[in-house]
Amino acid sequence: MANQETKMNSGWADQDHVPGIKSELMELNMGPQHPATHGVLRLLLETDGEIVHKCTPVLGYLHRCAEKIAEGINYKQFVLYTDRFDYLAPVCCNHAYVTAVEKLMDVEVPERAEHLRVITAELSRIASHLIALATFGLDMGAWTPLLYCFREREAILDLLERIAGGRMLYNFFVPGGVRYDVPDEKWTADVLEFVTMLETKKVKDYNQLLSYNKIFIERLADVGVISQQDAFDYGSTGPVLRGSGVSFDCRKDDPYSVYPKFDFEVPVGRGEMGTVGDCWDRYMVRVREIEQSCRIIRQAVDTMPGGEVHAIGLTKPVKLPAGAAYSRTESSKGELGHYIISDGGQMPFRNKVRSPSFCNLQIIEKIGVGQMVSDLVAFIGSLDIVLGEIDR
Amino acid sequence: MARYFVDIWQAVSSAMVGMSITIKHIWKKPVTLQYPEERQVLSPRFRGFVHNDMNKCDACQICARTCPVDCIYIETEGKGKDRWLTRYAIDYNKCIWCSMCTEGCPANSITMSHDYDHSVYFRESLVYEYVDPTVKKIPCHKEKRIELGYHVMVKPEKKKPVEKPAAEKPAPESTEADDKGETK
Ligand code: SF4
Ligand code: SF4
Repeated sequence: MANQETKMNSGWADQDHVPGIKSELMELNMGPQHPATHGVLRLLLETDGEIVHKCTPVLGYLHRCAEKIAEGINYKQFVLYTDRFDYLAPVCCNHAYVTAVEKLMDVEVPERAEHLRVITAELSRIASHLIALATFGLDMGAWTPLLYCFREREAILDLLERIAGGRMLYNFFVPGGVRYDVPDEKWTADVLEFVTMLETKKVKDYNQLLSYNKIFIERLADVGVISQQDAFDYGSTGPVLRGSGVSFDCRKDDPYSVYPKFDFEVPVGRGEMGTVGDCWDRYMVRVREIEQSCRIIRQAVDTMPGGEVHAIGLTKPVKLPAGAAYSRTESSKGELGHYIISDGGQMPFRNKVRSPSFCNLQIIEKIGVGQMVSDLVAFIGSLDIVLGEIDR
Repeated sequence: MARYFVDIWQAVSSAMVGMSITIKHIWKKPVTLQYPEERQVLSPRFRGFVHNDMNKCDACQICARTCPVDCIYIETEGKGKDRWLTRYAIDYNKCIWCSMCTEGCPANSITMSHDYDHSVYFRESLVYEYVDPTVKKIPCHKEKRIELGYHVMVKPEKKKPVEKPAAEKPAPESTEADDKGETK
């Protein structure tokens, strides 16, 4: 057994086993249309049998010029392009953008709007994490959690549809507030009911079905270990960084909106099943973040004040003074930042987006090497990338 | 050796725990809908296809300017009192159902409907024409609109109490103009 393993790891390619026969690495295209690459990610692998010797991500298949488009449309219109970055958690992306605009705009966002923003952003984060669990389980061969997670996500979509009108792309935030107030009194009650149901029943179900399943643990423990130093070096953020045991969360460490008012924890990877920073840790951070998001939502609903929901109205054009602003917020994938340079008009001069998935993906060049191809699939799943955000 | 059997036991037992959850679901009500027969209940704010009540629209172009993807085409001819709307079309190849056009409309003419499942055979047929200029044109000037019985927005701004508010009462007679509605 041990003998076989050493043979596999050293590889055949660079050895001269049989004199006169030359062997070389095989180039393998993984993607862009591959079920395990979560979108149109293309990986250029150099493999020796099952072992990956080089792994290069090739991006750009979903490039839509969002940053360039931003220079040609006004600030309000661009909000709905941010929806399309991370289509699994669009509200979080809205949040990053409007925060940057408001920094320049010098506007007081009504308290009620901030609460609604937090509630919808956290609901969106939960939806995104549910997809992350579901597809990760699917990559590992577990079909049932996918169906259950999608069922709960559907409930979130219904709630968001009732308040924002869209099922997937909400266009809910405007600079200076949110677009609509709650539809009726029942909405908040339904949010609380859903959150309680998720916390008490569903998360437990997922844990029993997937997280603490022995086969799942064996498959993921000690696979794709990202050390703390690597995570820092490659600029990882979000659950990838926290999975490596670093407690960093923009909501806590660089607070924006009304997050400082709420009491929540930042779950980090603890290496319960293997090494700190392995795939299981990153997975588990997401499960625990769902619970924390539920806590935030409950507090936000309970303390929601009355009043207006937008400071400048929906129809008034937004004009920013000349200047630059950078805002960073915690989206479901990590630190999402917008850098806006304004020249005083209705459109930005430049809008740079720092997208978390893009930075999180880069580490694959280092960690992917030396793994088996099948472990690479697990590794990509645990990074939870979304290609809309990488390519923009 | 003991480790080996413990592992097997844990694998089997944890799989059983998961199985029991799955089995419980057999008796639950299905959450899926059999789509064409069963329809989802849509929320009042649902954003479906855009509906334009052509009786109210006076070609002010605000919606076309607000639209982030420039998919509303408005064409007019003539000037002043003799200005007519000849084309109002929405290109659903481009529309992203963002509802921004409905927010600025001063006449509340354009709204989001609850239709969501139109399907056509050609891409060209997704450009919905709301006016057929060969049948009729729609007047844009206020006086002409009153004359022809189209809906005119009563100005909501009442900053100073204006004396004699009953100078004109154009709005209510929209009954006989209804049949001139849109040609979708
Ligand atoms: S819904 Fe949006 S994209 Fe569609 S016509 Fe209205 S403004 Fe344009
Ligand atoms: S904003 Fe309203 S009134 Fe003006 S052109 Fe559009 S639909 Fe017609």
